[in-house]
Amino acid sequence: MPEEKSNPTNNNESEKSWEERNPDIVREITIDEYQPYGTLTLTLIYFAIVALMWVFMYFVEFAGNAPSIID
Amino acid sequence: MHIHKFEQFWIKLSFVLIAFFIVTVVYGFVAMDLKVIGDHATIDPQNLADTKFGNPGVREVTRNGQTEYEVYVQTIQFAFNPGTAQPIVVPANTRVTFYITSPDVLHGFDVAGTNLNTMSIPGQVAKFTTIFPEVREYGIVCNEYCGPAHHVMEGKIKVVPKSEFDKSNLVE
Repeated sequence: MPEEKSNPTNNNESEKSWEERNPDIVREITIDEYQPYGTLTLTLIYFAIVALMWVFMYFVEFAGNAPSIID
Repeated sequence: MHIHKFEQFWIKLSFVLIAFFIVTVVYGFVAMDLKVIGDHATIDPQNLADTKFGNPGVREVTRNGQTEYEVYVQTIQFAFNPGTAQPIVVPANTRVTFYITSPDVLHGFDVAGTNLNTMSIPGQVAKFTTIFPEVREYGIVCNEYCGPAHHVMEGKIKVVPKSEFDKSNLVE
């Protein structure tokens, strides 16, 4: 890692946590306070696209592709 | 293990999506009555001459008081017999049952642009029934690699109006 390369002999520095090495962090939040609504929105859009394309492929392109096997 | 609530949500959503796929497929086969090719019969591919495949073509049959047609097709390297040298001629809006087998290697029988599609396997008879709703020509293609001229193996189905169907070309 670049940080270790720049300070290869400084053991104290590498023992510190990422937060301790970055004291300018303003506020630490717990995992449940982290709310990635953007990722959630993209995931919902993705699921909607998959579901719509499935409906189109199965009901229109496949089932609607007459003549079909009837027996 | 603690899983973030958003992550829990989209993991559950994935299972809902899988359930949705399964439900639509079951709905298709139960409520919409979709069909796929099943096991019909086995046959000795060396002795097709002794069977109806020895004289392939369109036959007229009466089933449940209705006139229907049976089409026996041999798929050979590299033609459909009948289908390639002369088109398979069938009437529209009538039940037509295809029986397809192969005396040599694996072939495909795909009526292009429709759901009529089966493998033609030496030793197995593929059977399916359909009704062609409109008067038009359909192409048949082999969609299983069967040898060096596989790409030119094709045929035709000619659907004619019921009133114009010429019964003189039927086989006995």
